[in-house]
Amino acid sequence: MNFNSFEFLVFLPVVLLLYWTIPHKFRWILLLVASYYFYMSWNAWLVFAILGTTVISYLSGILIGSTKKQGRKKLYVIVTLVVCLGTLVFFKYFNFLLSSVIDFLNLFSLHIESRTLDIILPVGISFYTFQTLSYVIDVYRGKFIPEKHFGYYALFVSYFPQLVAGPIEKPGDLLPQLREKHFLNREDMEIGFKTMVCGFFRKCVVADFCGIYVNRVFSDLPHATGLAVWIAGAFFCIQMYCDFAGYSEIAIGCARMMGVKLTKNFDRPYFSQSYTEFFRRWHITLNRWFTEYLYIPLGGNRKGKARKILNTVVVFSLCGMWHGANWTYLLWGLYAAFFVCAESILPWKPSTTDMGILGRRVLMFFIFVPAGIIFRAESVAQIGQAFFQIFYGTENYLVDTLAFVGLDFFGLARFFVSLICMELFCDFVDDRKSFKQKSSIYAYTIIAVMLCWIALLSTGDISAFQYFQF
Amino acid sequence: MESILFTTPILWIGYAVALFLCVFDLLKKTSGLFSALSLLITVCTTTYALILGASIGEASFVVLCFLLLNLLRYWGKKE
Repeated sequence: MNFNSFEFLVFLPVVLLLYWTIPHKFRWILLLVASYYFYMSWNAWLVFAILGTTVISYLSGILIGSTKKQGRKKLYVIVTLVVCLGTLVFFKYFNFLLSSVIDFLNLFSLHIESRTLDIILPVGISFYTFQTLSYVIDVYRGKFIPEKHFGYYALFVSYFPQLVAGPIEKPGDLLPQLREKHFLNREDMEIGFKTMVCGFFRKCVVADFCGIYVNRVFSDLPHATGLAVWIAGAFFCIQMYCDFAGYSEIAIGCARMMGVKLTKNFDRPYFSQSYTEFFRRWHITLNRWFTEYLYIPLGGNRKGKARKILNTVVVFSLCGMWHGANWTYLLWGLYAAFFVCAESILPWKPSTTDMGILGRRVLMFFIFVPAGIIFRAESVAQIGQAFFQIFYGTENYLVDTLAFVGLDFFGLARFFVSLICMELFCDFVDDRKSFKQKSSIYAYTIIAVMLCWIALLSTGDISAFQYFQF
Repeated sequence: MESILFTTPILWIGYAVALFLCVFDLLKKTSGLFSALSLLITVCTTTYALILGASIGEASFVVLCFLLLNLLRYWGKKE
């Protein structure tokens, strides 16, 4: 059940209606049932994977909380890490590791036949695994008292708005909110609705539109002009942002309608003046996770410059591989690590003048485009092909390129108008005064109707969110 | 350029009326009724344009422009 599907359009109002009519003490049951139903709508059997991770991390939290021996606590944490990460590795990386080992051995002329297991990747496994790990580690560190109520804990792991693609919440932020008694109020409903509308706009209007042109170029890369590859890279950067930020906003809006405030996951990342700043604005909750549970324990920047660089490379490599079982993601991580390390070594300061800030942002976007190409490519060979086309591809005439990409006047105009709309949507969401006015209902209805109309005219079909595959 | 929107005067009239109502609502800050009327005319005109053979790109571009106009009321209201 995608957020942009008809089923969800029925599912959410039903859940909200029941949520606000039943007494508080039964709400966790409703949300838990709804969350598991939501998850099982993809593949019912995979519920055992999330259930297993939930039970193990819950028991681990209880055991860590009940013992005073540091050695025991450490043992419980290690066992949980091995089991939860082992499950993640099995489902997500087993076939990749197996084929990589076979390919490596075949380099020595061993002629081993390539084999893979028929493994279905559970939706959102990377997200809920990281969320459970943050719970166990926080309990181990004494930052959070273990949750005794299994129902609330299971809900924390499986809470449907953020179950399949985040934001990755810390237990201290989400669990108390799930326990808290919420009262129906217009402000929460209105902010939630506006945030969701903004998310749908990003996904259905901007991301899906960009995706059409990106797919067109990447499906015929050998014949693409260099400029076409570059445009596809730029469009992919915008597609990825709008797709994932759109999902996060729908999730945040959805939760807000139940009185729960989820963490902001994106903060206009392409307005960054550096790669370091970019990662403070892009997928904030994942980067916070890597910083808190990996980068700092590795020593962070406390053990000299060389160690800092090593830690950065390790963290970004793992962050890249977190996205999927493909060498392209590792290359993407290393590309990002290179710039983050360079920024930490070189004397670099953010610009303070308007022109300087604009120049830096434009420059940074040009640096993000190759990262987008690396991320979008299906294999290392395709990355090579894309860069070959950029430097040595066929002629770069603008007319030929636009014809190849399939962009006409209205397509380009639509793209730029939708970017302006996206910026205005930020003001629309952040405007806290309009909900006191009676006229806001008209305005919201108009915007929602126009959005549906544009979405219907956009692609004609429902495309899944990109981050579901991670 | 071959475009139904550029070559059909009846569509211009429809969009002009919708635009007038939308801008009037925006400037006078009325209850939003004029915007709703503008929306209705936009949807009807666009549907007619599609029936006449306008491309999806053209139609969605026009609706997007009206969405932008409606969003302008929130411009700079960030907190």
